[in-house]
Amino acid sequence: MKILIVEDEAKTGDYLKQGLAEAGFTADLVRNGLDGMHEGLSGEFDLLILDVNLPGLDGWQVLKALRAAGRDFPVLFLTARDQVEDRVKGLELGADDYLVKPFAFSELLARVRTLLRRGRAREATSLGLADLELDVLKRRASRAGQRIDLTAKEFALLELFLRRQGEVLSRSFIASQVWDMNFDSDTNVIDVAVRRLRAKLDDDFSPKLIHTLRGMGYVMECR
Amino acid sequence: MNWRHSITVRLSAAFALLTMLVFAVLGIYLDRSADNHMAELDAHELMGKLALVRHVGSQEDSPAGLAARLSDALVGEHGVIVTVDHGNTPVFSWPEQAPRELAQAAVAVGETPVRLQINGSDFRVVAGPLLTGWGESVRVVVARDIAHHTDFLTQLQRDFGLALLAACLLTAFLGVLIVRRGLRPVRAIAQAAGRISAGKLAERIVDREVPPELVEMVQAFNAMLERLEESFTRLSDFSADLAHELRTPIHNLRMQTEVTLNRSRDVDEYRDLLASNLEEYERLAKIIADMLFLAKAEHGLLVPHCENVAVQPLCARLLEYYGLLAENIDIRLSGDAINVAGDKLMLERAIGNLLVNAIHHTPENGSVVIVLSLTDGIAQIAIRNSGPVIPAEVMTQIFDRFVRLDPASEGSGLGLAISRSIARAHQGEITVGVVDGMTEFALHLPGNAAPA
Repeated sequence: MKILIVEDEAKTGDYLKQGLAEAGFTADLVRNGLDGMHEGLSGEFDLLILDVNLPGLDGWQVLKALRAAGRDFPVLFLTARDQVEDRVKGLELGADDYLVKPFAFSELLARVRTLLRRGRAREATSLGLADLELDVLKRRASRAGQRIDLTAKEFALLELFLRRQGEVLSRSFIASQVWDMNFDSDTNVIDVAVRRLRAKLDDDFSPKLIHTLRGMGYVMECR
Repeated sequence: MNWRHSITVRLSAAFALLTMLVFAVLGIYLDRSADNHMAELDAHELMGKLALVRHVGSQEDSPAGLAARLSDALVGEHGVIVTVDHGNTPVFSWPEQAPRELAQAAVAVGETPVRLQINGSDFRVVAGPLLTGWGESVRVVVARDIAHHTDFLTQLQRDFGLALLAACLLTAFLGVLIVRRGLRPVRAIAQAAGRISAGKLAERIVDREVPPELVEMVQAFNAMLERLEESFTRLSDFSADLAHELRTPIHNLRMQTEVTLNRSRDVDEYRDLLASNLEEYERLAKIIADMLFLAKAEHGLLVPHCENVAVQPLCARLLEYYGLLAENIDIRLSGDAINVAGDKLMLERAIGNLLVNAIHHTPENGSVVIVLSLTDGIAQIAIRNSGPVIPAEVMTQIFDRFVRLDPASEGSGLGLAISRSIARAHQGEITVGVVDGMTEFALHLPGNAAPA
């Protein structure tokens, strides 16, 4: 998976590139709008991460030019201003998602993966990890053959974890995906929700599948 | 200084103009009445002389007798001319060298005095017929040289003109003094205003010492100062609060990083430090984002992306989410199905903040209720909790930034301020009170009934 990053802020760009590379992507970084447009038009990419505030040609112009040229890879734009007009404008110009700076890298990673997954073959209806099994259609979960009763939201949370095995999921990403809550609250709702899921899923079983990554969020994997 | 707009200059000029006007009217009136009075005196004299000549003429039986008696009667008269003519033949004339042109010029004159100019001198003239004692029909002309009258009037006019000029100058000068004195309170106000600076916004102008005409201005000025002081205080409090709020996480970051770096440690400890740092960064980012949100709201830059938002499902969703925090709290949603025209994300945030607060302040086995209602086009979203009642003195400032009921609270202290700014951005308001013994926070927003 090849990702193009257009970001003029030096440190942000470098760490974006490093983070994405370490997450298993091939990432190209350019530092201004003109290069971004040139690369986007000539190279083959699966996704574009586009900063809006760029010297010379700004992000909107780059996006417009690429879409006008028929480039239809998903675009995730980054903005420092959390303004409704920005949101609306970006999405109208053909961007697929956006993040407001400062954002958590895990959040970016999660969104990048969502965008890359989009439009691909139908998602699996049967998920599993170790001895955990989940039947999405029948809404049934079991571990070591033992049925686990889950509420609707617990099921949705578990499904998200299973579909995103090995990925760090930030609290705000979980809140937006499972509860459609799109602003950061100071609360530990997600911690409570994950604790309850763990109680049903991990407490009586081994190995543990849900792990806490301090400062970042949660990850489901079999360690 | 802009002289055209100087009050002193304008008022003094107005005084001078007024004086000139009054003097001019008065002068014209005096001139006219003096002239009339003199014309009356002249007429009286002329008619007297005419009567005298007629009386003597009708008694005398010869022109010589007439001349002798009239000469006697007119002795000592200066400036008076009397001529008696029979056709074109002079019968008598006084003084003897009286200009002949007079009788010719006065051909059309009757017994009403008329002004005539003869040989460059002004005369007032009457004339009339007379049947003499010797049986001849003659014409009598009596004229008065009025040069000394016109001289007097001219002199009067000149004097008056000079007086007028002097009066104008005097009033202009006095006007300057009076206006300066009159404007003294204004200068005092200006001096008081000059003493006011950012550090001394508490200064006020005492309106008891100000003339009544200026009281309104002074009060408006003081009110402006009041508002300025308030905003200024709020602004400096805001900066102080912000600095204080940012100081804690930065202090934590610094301490833990310094202590960790003090000596060599194993990888897990470094990982722990970075994770802890990340938490603090998140806290900082959140405070900054919230402060930016509030700053934008305060400058009217918070423009809601308006759509028709069904409040009931939104509240249900919030309850389901935040309900996770309220294990032993009875939490309910009741009331009408209503719509609010507004920004869904912002409304979610405003209601969410209130809900989180309510849950935090409700003890175990307590209850939290959201009540929706609609009155007169205003949707009410009331969030009530059975937690301890908020003291009245705290209620008034509970929506201010960084006001925390519970000092140990983890929250940023910005939630209620943000909820209020969202309500206001939607042309609504937020209130706090006590209803049925429960603490109630309510959003009042323009809304309508949702179709069933």
